[in-house]
Amino acid sequence: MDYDIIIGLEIHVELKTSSKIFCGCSNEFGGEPNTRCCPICLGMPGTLPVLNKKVLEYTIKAGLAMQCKIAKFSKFDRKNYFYPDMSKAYQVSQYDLPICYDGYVDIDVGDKTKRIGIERIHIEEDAGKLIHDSNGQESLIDYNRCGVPLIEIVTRPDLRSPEEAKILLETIKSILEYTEVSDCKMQEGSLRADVNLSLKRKGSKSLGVRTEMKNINSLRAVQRAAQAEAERQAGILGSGCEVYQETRRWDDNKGESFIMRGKEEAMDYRFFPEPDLPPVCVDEKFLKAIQASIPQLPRQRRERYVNDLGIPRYDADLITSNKHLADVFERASEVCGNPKLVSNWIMTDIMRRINEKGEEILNSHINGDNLGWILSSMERGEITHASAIQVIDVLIETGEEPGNIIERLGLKVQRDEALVVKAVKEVINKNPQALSDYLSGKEKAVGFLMGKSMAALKGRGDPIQVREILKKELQSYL
Amino acid sequence: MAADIKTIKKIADLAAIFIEENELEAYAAQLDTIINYMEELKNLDIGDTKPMEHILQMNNVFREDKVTGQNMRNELIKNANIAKDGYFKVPAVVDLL
Repeated sequence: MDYDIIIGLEIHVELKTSSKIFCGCSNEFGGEPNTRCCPICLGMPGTLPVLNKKVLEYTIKAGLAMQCKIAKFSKFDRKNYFYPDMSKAYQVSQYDLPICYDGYVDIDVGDKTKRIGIERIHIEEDAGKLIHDSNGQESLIDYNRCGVPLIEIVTRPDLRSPEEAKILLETIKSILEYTEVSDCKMQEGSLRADVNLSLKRKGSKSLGVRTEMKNINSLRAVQRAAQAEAERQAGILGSGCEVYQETRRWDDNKGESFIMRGKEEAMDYRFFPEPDLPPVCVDEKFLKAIQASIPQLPRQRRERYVNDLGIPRYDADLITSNKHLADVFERASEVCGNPKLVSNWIMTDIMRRINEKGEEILNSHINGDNLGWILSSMERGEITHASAIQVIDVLIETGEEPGNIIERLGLKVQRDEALVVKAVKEVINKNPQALSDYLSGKEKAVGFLMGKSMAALKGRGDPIQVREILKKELQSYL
Repeated sequence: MAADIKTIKKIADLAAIFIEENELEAYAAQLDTIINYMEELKNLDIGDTKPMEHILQMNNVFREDKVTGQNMRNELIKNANIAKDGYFKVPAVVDLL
């Protein structure tokens, strides 16, 4: 293509406070329609919104994690529009004095690091949900989502490919998860992105006309939507026509976008300062307390795992992609003192179970303490590798304490020499063919008898001890 | 004229107010007077005046993050013209997003 792709994102994130932004209604997702709203959510005359302090804290926390400057003075504005998803006919947002501005996020594109500017992060309230009747006669409204605290993150147009857009969204998502300001459940709409895209003729200084695509709610869809829009615009420009400035809607099922409104219908929101909410002044003490609450972020953690703990980069990437996983890894490494062992287990057995059972197993049953304990028991030779896997499976099923599981299922390694010798002798007696194979020089037979012996010991023999005894017993036949 | 008929039409449209064709001119004249009056502000010397970002001379009024709300759907719905299955009901609208 003879064009550079220029992309900027606007990302809306629902904050995971307990209550809504301006009232004490529950901020939980879902619920029976209109059971989680009140006269403030609906903007009834005579109501007075009061800002949830946690919303301010979370916004600043997100801003600091994205290297933003924090405004000492900030205020709210009304964004006026008529649409029934907001019964008061305006959305409380921030116009010219957002709380966070001028930050950046570093992303990894291939083996290069790229810095993407964050223009601003402001606070606003979410709107209600409309359900359109299938016969097109009526629309039903649920205001439970009204007043859910949102932040809008606006990036600079620094992205140069659909892939970069996806990587940025992924990176921001993980920063928000690490700082624990949002659960970022894209399928529930708690993280959604608008894609602003234009094409610039290579070598040219002037930017092309840009379009905006609204409310894309998966990482994959962001990349797909940007790719399709770049191709659409290139097609238009290639045939000598003009791209129009417009707002489009991405249909991820069809894999194409449709025009929602053109420049003429562009919204005129007539912003003005919100008279019901006093301005916000942030002092150094407040900022310092929030700064201190920010944990080490994924990139820094990943570097520490690679450089200090000797974990392969690929493994470190995967482990840090999920804060719960990273926390489990760190704690388990502390407990058992062998980060490489923990990382190997996470990359294989733990990941397989997460993929099968869902991420919840990390919060409910598997944690750093019990995983670390199980692995150190294994390292000390108290249980076998196979038993460790069995303990983890039971732990996931029942949540039982690993020590109890080992006790109850008799998984402790059997080292009683007399018992092992007895078991091995029986195995040899029951498998005369294997014995004669061994005597005729087939070393393979040892492996076979070893497996049978371990099975006879119900997997609880110490493999090193069993092998030694088996060899001794076999040699006695020579 | 700072406010002509076209401006009045646009403002009425944005504010979702219906204005009769024969009233447009009168409103335009009125709004024009108001805007011209505001123009006088430009002649004031405000060199020593600090910009006022907000009409409230207070700041940092917060509430703690506590859930105090409860289900009050019946009372809320009572005020609606039409409701259905616990939803507010309106004539079909197109998606605006």
